[in-house]
Amino acid sequence: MEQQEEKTENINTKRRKQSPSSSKLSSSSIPLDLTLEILSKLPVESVMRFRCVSKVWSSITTDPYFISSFKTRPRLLMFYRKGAKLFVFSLSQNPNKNEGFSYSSSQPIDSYHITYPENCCVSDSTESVHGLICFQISTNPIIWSPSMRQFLTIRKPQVESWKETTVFLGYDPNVGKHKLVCMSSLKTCDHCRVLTLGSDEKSWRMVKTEHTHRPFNGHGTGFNGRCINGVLYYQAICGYHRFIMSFDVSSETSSVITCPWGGDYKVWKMLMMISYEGKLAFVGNIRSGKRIIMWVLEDAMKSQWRHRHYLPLSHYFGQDLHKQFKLIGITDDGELIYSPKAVFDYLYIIYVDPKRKTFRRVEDKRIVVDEGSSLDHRPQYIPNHIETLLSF
Amino acid sequence: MSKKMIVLKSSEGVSFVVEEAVARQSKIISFLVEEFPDRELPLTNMTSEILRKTIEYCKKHVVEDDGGGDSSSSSSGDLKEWDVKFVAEIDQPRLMDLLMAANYLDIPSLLDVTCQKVADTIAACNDEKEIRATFNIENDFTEEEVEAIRMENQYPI
Repeated sequence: MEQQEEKTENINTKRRKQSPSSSKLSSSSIPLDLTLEILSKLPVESVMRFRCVSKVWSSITTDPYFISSFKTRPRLLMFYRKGAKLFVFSLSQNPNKNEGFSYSSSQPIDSYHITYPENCCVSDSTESVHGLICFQISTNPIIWSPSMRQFLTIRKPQVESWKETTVFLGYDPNVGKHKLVCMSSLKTCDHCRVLTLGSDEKSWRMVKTEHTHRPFNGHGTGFNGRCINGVLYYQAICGYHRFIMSFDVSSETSSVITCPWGGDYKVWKMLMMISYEGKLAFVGNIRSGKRIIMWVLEDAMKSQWRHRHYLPLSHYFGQDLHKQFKLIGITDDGELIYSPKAVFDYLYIIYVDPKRKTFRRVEDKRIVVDEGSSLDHRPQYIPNHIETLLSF
Repeated sequence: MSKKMIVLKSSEGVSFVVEEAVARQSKIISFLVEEFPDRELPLTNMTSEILRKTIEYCKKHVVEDDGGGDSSSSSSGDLKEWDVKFVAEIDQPRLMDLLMAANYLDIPSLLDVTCQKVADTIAACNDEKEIRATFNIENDFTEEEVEAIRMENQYPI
């Protein structure tokens, strides 16, 4: 019995230590021990703007650990160019309460405009890799941090025989570092050049890839690469063989993954590379848009793929509307995301849950891009963008 | 087989009889029922209202393990929607109480949704003064310091 009493006392001590604020439940102030937890769930813009609330808030949000580990939930980035300006909008991808299948979004949007960087072609044929986006069209690569509103131009590796180069951005979640991987776009090689961002490294390092290859242009425009859980995947070619190269961002080792559709270029063109449930996947319309096919890489070592068929957008919306929208990606919850193909009176995005066969149509009347806007390019979209506090 | 029940007692001395599986979502309760089976657990710093809310949340989130596999009562999408609605209906003082209850009882998912709701409230504030007023935060900065921080945190446009 005595022993038990002692135990009770220990628990009470432990409890008091864990939560000093709990002795006085009921006040509208934020308990100190939960401030960090709460501040880490704010949007970037609020973190920056509200550092002046108090000394505690300021010291928490400027702590290096807070800065390196901070990330928001995935958001949908929309941007367009008008004159010398780039207009940027960051929108929530999460469902808005129980508002049914069609609703007007009232969730906060972050928007701003910024001077369009010189010699750059900002396009959505790339992806957001842990908060950063890399653009490159035969010039020096440019890294964009949409949440910190910064651009950084990096000098491409000076290799004489590499007339055109392709750059992919990867992220190593174990050490929290981004790396750029550069290779020749035209000449097959058994090596690439690697640069770690935010390190003392000033020049590109040569890294052997073991397999001779070059990246190839996939879905429409641009070279597709996807970085998933510290592994960079990109479409590659060698002779007549088309395959996927995987590059482990941490160990910098490469391997080849073969695809069930092999060398059939028509299939490659139809499919889009995405991340699905933390795995590499390809998704696209087949049979003239009557079906959606998704291939998911189950085992990279054995090149094992599983495929599924889903109903196309026309099943939910009819042929007319279906033609005006294009598939731009998939959310972490497995919803297919469709954006308008052209300019629009106001923004609306369609999310389809292919397993539950449900959809939601999210309008945002606060975002207007009409025909009269004389845009230099149509609006572009990058889904699953995580906002971070990383700056250059 | 009948389900094992446990008794939780609020600060007002009101007893709540709860299925053990429901209450075990709290890591603290889970630990306590193992150490002290068949005892009533007094939660002296939690009002009946907050305890009732906490139990309501745990009931919704309990995963039945007798069926095996994924026999959770709702799909994850439905649960997320339910969570959003659950915190949307609570006023701010009660939300803070619920947040502290989640922290005290160690219920990670409830702590997550309540913290998110508080963060959303902060993000919706117009300026730092509104935040200080809403959450009773003392301004320990001088005017000059506030201005300096503001300058430092401007976007490079």
